[in-house]
Amino acid sequence: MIQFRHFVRSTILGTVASAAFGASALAETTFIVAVPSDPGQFNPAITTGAHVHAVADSIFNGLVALDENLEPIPDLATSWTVSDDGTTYTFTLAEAAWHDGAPFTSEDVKFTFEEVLFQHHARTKSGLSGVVSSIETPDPRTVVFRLSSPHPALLRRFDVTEAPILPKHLYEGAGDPTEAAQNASPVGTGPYRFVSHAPGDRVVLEKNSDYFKGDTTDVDKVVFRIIQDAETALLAFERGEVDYIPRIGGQNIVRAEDAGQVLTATAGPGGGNCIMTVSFNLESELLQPADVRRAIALGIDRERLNDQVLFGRGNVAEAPFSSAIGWAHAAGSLSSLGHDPASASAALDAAGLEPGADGIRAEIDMVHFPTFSKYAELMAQDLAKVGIRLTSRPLDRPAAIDAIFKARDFDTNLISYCNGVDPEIGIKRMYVSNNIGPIPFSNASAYRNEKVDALFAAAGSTADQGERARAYGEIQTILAEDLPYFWLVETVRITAASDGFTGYRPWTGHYLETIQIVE
Amino acid sequence: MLRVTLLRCAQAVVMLWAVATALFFLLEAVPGGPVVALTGEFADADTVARIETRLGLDRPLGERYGRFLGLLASGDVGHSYTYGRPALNVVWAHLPATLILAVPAILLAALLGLPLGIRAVRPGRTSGLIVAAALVAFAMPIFWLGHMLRLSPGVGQIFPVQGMTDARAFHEGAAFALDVAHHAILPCLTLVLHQMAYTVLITRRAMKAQMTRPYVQTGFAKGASRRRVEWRHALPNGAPPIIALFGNRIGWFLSGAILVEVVFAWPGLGQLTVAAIQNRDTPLVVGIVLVGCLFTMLGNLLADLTQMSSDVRLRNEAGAA
Repeated sequence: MIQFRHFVRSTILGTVASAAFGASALAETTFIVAVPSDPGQFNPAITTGAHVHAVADSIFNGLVALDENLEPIPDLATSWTVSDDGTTYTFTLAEAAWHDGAPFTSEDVKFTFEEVLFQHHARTKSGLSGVVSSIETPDPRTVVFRLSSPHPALLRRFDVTEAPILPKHLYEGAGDPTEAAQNASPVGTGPYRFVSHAPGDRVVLEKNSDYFKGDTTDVDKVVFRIIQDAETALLAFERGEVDYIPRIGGQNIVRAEDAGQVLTATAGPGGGNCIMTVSFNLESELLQPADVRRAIALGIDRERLNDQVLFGRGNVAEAPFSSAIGWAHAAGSLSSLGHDPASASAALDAAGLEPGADGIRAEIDMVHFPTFSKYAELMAQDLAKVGIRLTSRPLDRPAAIDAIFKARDFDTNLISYCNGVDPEIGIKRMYVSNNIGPIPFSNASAYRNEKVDALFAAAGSTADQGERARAYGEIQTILAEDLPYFWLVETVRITAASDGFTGYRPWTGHYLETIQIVE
Repeated sequence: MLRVTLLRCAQAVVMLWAVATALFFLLEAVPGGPVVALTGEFADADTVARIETRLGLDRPLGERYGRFLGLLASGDVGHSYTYGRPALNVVWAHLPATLILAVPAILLAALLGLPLGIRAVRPGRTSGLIVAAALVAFAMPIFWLGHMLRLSPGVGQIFPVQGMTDARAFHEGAAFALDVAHHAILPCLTLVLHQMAYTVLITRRAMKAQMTRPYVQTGFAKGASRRRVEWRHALPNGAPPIIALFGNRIGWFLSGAILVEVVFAWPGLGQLTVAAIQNRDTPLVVGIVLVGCLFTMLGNLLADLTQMSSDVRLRNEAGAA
């Protein structure tokens, strides 16, 4: 019924609009994306911020793209070979042109990695700058990466979100790339070229008619509208004012489905394969005994979190590593941590935390972003039943990061840790002892285990996937025993998309590269 | 009047300095910094340090305050961290969108609120209804009022729910102006309803106090019509609080109306303010607050001048001072 009304309304309005403004305005296909914040600048190589990548990735390319299973497929590199020892990667490059007409060459790749990505892109800098020992450009169509040791995650780190390629001819000699004037009017090789930016209002891109991959899309113009309020974005989607919302809350799935289609993906621009994770502050006396942490974990009903917060679209975490990285995921390592309030109470009794006259054994707080309040509320209800009073402390993003990683002022906190497409990218940082504060999203629990450190070091420097999987399996067994964190649910990115188009790729920064009008 | 204007300008300089200083130290006390918004996740210590050096955040507090004052003295507040260009330019660029909502809203609220407020003093059921409606509209949180308006049958279905223009059409000239007007109606109506309710309540109170005064009785006694007594005799005497209300609210409309702009994703100062605070974009926050402050003072000055020109007593006092 709603769809019918929508149809009638859009037909009537469409007719009126074409009568009023003439057919010329409608001959072009414009696609509207609602984004919650202004990117500010459009250089995706100097930041991992999702607000920049959600817009700028469409203007650029990486050496590789990622398919639906997050496996590398050609992008600017049409093919590649890897030496047997896993330390030399040779890429053959596509005949592509920058949006200003200049040819794309291997020099652009070398320049971007050495001068920009290894200096400013937080993830690529920390993950690869120590691994890549040299980048050679034997000819304009070939680029060779030599590594100091095998790095099996390399290809997955070369997509447009992790390693977008910039034009050397515009950035060389332009000073600090984080301040370059180019960042405001980007020139890329990507499927769309930059047209204009009205701060606080919109960013307009147009189809790159000379795209080196050919005619991949029916869309002539993409408009990113900045709509801070999620309810407004959804209402605009329902009324047909917006075609795509990259991220909606689980409670809005039904409304989005009525007005269009709902896409889910575990990855997306700015990070993916995220697990909603409770960190225990291991410097807090109360939480130091592993038995207490285990009891708290047993007291939390993770099924209910998935049902009531994610509306069943996520998964209860079965292991510390995301199931989306299948080969490294040790399924079942958390199977002994199902919801069991009776055992939780017994364990707390045994740990000497007897309930007081008011039934309360202990009080702990939980620092989190305001968007995660629903999780905290449900966990507070669960833990009240085993005598633990959990106080939710919602803080806005910068303040929460400050409280957790700088001031370390929390008992527990709740963070969506995005695992990325390889354990080297987004998992290792949570557990290794040389990554404890003050860096945002580092080892929040302050977990120190020499064996885990050694296993991560070993797994990160061998090319053999079987060997890596064994090391990661061992790590997950230790983690499930030590419980420095508790892994709640694997979340998914839920996207609302117009059903007038098809070919969306919501798992990548190039989510608009191949959209076509549904005939 | 010239004297008052000059005096006020001198006061304004002191006021701006005081507000800027208070703001500088308040923002200093707020936890969290701008780095995460700039680098995204995963920044290492080296990257964080480099950005802090670039933005001058690693300098001692005293030195930063000194630099801040130096900039301020030259009429600047520094570069926005988010946009990488002068923060005041960003603020000015957002001002027209806010004015498109604020100016018609203020005018309409005055035009409609004043007669209704005066009407509400007369005895009878209509007055009760006006007051009740004004109380409801005034008590309603403004973001909720806006949201309810666009969900309502009728107006809510005819007008777009967000934005300043139709993002699908790239209109120019007259079609563009029409498009903006079409989009402005709901947010403007929200602001009008809120400010009108305020105006009705203040006007009614001011007028009620006047209507019991002996000179009003005299007016009636000499045979003047009720309308004439209200508008010609009572209103000028009751005007000061009404004028002051509008003077005060100019600042609210400009830096404020924040929630209305956020609800309707209107690309003005309101959305900018929220984003600037979330990103800890200190120069931008300072710029927005100072511009809002400037307009508030300007509004108050205008209100005072209006009152002086409508009230001989005030003019004489000022002249004698």
